[in-house]
Amino acid sequence: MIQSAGPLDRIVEDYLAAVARACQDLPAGRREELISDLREHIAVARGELASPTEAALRTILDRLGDPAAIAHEARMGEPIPSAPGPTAPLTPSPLSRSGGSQAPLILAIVLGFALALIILVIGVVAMIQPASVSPHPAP
Amino acid sequence: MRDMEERVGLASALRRGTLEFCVLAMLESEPRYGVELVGRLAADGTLTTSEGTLYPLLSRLRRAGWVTTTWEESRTGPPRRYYGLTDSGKAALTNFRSEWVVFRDAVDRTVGTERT
Repeated sequence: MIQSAGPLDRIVEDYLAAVARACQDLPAGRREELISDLREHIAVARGELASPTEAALRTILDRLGDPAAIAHEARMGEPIPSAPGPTAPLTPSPLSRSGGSQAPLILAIVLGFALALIILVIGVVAMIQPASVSPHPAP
Repeated sequence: MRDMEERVGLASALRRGTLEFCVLAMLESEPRYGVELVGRLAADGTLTTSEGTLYPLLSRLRRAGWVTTTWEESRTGPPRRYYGLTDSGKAALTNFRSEWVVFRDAVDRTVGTERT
C-alpha cells in the first residue's frame, strides 16, 4: 500500500481487498488483472471529481458494485470463441450433433450382426466338412 | 422474493451472449476510456447491474482480440486507458447484427411480442 495513504485511500484498498477475497478461486493472473482494472477505474473516476469527499468516493464504489457480483461475473469467464468472420458458420445444430453420435452406434450393431453371421457360417461348415470328407478320403 | 430472483436470473441469462456486442457497438464510432464506457453501459440499469461487472467482460474482449487499449494523458487526472475496436471486433459486431435480427424476429414470432 501507498505510504501516504489517507483515509480515502484506505476505503479504496478495503474495497479492492474485498474483491480480491471474493475472487480467491480465480487464477492469480486473472484476479490481478481485475484488481488493476478496478484500481485504474477508481483513480480515473476520482480524478474527475469536483470535490474529493468521502461521499463522492463511496458513490464511485457503489456504482462499481458488490464485490461478490464482480467475482461472479469474472468466474463466468466462458471463453469467447475466436472472432468469427461475417460468414462464419454457426455451431452445429443439436440435430446434426445427435446424428453424428448415433452413426457409430448403428455401424457397431451392423458389424456385430455381420460378425455373428460369419461365425455361424464357419461353425456350420466346420461341423459338416469333417463328416462329409472323412468317409471319402482323397486318393 | 422468488419472483425477484427469477427476474434477476432471466435478465442475466438474456445479457449473456449479447452484452459484449453492446460494448463493441459502443466503441464503433470512437474509442472510449473505461470510466466513460462502463458509465454509459450501466446508465439505464437494463444492460448491466453494476459498472464493476463490466471489467471481467472487457478483459475477455481484450483476450479475444476484439478490442485493444491505448493509454492517453488526461488534463484532469491520471492517464486514461482507451478501448478501441479492432478489425476482428468489427467483424464480430457485423456478424452479431445479422444473427441478432434473425434470432430476435424468431423469438418475437414465437412468443407473440411482434411490434405492430
